[in-house]
Amino acid sequence: MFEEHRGKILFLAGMLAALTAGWRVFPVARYQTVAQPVDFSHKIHADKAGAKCEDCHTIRDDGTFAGVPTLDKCSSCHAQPMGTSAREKQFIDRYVTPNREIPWQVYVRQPQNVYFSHAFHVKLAHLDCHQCHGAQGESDTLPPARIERISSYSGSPHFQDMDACENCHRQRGAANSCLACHK
Amino acid sequence: MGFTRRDLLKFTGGATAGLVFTPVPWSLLRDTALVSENWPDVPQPARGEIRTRYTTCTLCPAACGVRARSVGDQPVSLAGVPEHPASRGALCANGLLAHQLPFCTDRAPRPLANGRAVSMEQAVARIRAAVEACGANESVAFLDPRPGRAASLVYRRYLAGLAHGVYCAASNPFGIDLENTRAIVSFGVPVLDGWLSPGRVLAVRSQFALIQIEPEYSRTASLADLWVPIVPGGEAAFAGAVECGLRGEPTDPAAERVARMLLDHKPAIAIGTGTDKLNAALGSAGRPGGFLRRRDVAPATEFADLPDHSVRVLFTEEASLTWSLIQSKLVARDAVVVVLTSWLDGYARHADYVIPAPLYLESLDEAATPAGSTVAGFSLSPDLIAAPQGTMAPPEFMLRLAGDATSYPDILKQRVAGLKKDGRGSVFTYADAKSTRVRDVASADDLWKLLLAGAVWLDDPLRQTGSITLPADEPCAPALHRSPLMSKLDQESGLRKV
Amino acid sequence: MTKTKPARYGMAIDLDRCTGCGACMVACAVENNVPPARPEATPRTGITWMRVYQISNGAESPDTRAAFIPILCQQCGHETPCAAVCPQEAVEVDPATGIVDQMPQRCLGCRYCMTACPYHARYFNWWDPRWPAGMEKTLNPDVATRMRGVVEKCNFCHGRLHAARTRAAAEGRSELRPGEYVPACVEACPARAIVFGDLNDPESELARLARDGHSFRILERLGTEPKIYYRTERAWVREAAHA
Repeated sequence: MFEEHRGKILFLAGMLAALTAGWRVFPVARYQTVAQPVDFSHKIHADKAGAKCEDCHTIRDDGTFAGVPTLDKCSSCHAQPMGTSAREKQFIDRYVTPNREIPWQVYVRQPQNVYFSHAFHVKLAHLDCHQCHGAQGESDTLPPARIERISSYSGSPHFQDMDACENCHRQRGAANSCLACHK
Repeated sequence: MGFTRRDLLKFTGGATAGLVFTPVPWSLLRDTALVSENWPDVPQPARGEIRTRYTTCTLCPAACGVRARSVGDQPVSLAGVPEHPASRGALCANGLLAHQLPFCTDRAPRPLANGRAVSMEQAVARIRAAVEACGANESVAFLDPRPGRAASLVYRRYLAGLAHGVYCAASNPFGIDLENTRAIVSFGVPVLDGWLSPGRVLAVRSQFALIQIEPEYSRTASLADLWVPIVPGGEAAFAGAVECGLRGEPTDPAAERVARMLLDHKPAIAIGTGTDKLNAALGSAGRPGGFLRRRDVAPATEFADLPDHSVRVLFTEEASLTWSLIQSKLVARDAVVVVLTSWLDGYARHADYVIPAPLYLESLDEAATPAGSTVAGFSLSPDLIAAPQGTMAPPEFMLRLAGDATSYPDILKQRVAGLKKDGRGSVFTYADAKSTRVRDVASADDLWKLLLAGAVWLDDPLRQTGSITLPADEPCAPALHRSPLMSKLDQESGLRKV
Repeated sequence: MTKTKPARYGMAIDLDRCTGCGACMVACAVENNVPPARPEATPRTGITWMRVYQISNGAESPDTRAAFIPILCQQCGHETPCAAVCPQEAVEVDPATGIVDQMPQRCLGCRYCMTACPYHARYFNWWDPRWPAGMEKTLNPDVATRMRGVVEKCNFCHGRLHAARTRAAAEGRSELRPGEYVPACVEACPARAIVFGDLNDPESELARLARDGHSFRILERLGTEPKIYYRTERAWVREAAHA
């Protein structure tokens, strides 16, 4: 029976292989996962230190977003170990003591020609951090960053390209012209 | 049953058909497009916190206030300081590009002696030897293109310690009350094209009639209310003819026309070569709309007044006068020219020693009285970026040559302490556009901090008494080096050079 | 969500004040990361989003006089020629600002828009941008660099509009105050020859200047409704601009 339909079976097998590879393997394999250099826990800092998002991730007076805090923010409390964990000790030895900035991976690094303003989304649209960043603020560990292998662009699961941005903008009637978001 | 080539083709065909229904081809297309838009050699701007910092431009004597927009510490664009009393919030095309000058390829990177690289110690030793070898009728001169600074004081002190030192500068204790002038007759001065601070001149352009006396159809001539193309070298004669016209005597029709305009638009001033007598006829000294005396520098020798072939060693900063004039004053043999400059062109081509200087954004410098200001002035020009290794600020070099261990910033601090002690004048701070009387500043240290953050000290106006003799010449701005972006002006637009 | 009123940004340039110094050209190039010229560049192939032209009254010396005309994208508001011809939809007239947005990232470099533009205000990247070593540190982070093969033009310093809106958003405002957003050329002009503002705001200085008799627009008869007004009291300059 196999010999009779050999050609078609092989053809279908090829299709199946391609569909599996394309839908299951490719979406994972196309990204390089890079772990964060420091095993930081948002949960501990929220619970024990009572920190809120804006305590470290600030919007400056001119509206620009400070992003991931610089080392001085961490050193202001962690000059000495605050707890007993090994990962904190490692962090202090590697970064605080030699005063070396932590090379954080950015999850949704915008390409050079894109202009994303936290000030608009937080202060004008009154979006909550969770609406775009999910449960990041309650996580105990940081997920690895995904970087697309060919283009080196950030490969966040929710913000692959501008479709997610466009959809929300269209729903809310926000600015939709090209240069509203592009440089 | 072997796996044949036909089997492979069937399988591959199926795979290709299947791929079309997966995201693979579209992702690959998008990603390769993104790669092609991001070639590694297309530069990307640096990311960082945007800061505003202030300094004063010292590319020319106009001393305009500068507001630098910086990413971290690196300036990425420059602009004027709003309400700045001397510059009225503007910068010229050169001033706007000053932050790119550090990257021009013509920089002088290390000390040169007759075109060969030497160490700073070697340069100092050889120049000292040249100075000591001066004969009885030979002098050591310093030609200072920006007199009135604390640096100028360093140069004078150095020369005072020598047997035959002479300090040369264009002395000009007069400012111009441009805001009240109603006519300017300019003998070759580029009034609209690089005279004083453009913001100040153009703010009052509609208030004065501009008469341009110049052989060339220059930018200023093309925009003047009256252009008189005289024969080159005929300035003095024409000025004399205009004086006749002012007295009502018949003279050259063009000169009569000029005299008529000057009489119809009073008060009037004359600027440029050979205008001292004309200014006397116009009575333009010591009155509103004219030349006002200000408290200023100690008198200096005009370089052109030095005896010919008398200078054995000449020091100068950057370039100011024509090389032929300089050569005429140098001794015939074994003359030594030391130029303290940032650039390899200009005098560096002719000089015996080139001492590389940092650019204005790279070193703590100062600006003396802004050109044309009716009162004496002083501002600091703080450094915003690091100077390249191997450069040395001109006053630092001269202090080293003199064997003086004082640092130049300390000399600047002494100057500021002197201003505080005198208690005259006020300080205009760039960040908030406020003016504070010096008396109301708590201490010399506070005054220093204000100036270092970006400010200009301006004296109180001087009472205009006694007779005043105006200088014959208008000091010219030194030749300016140009950033590659000036290509916009000449090569790509055809617009004449600034 | 609060929506801002649509603006129509424009300029009024006083040709009697312009001295042709070129500060606007230079400030524009610095703000927008325009590279220095290649040695092969000519007035036709160079990139000058803002370009100052010199015209003469044609009189005999010594009565020859010049006028200087800064030309930038005129932000045509009616049947915008470049937007109409672009096959890639890389040009769009932003309804919120009236600015003709050029997207170099969408552009495929056919240069049809350059042919269509009556003001020659569009420029093509014939070469990859090159800066002398180290000068990339002075690039403006608010503007993306382009690569060769795409067209670019004045967009009223969109990077500054972003920055101004961001600053206003940080204070909770969605409206910009007059003067909060000015393009680089407007800020740089030592003669204060350029006035920038919102033509939709009848109280603005620009709107008043646009209405008075000394203002005119270049090639008005084409009906593209440019938003750049030029002002002069010299009849010969006005006639030259209409020719």
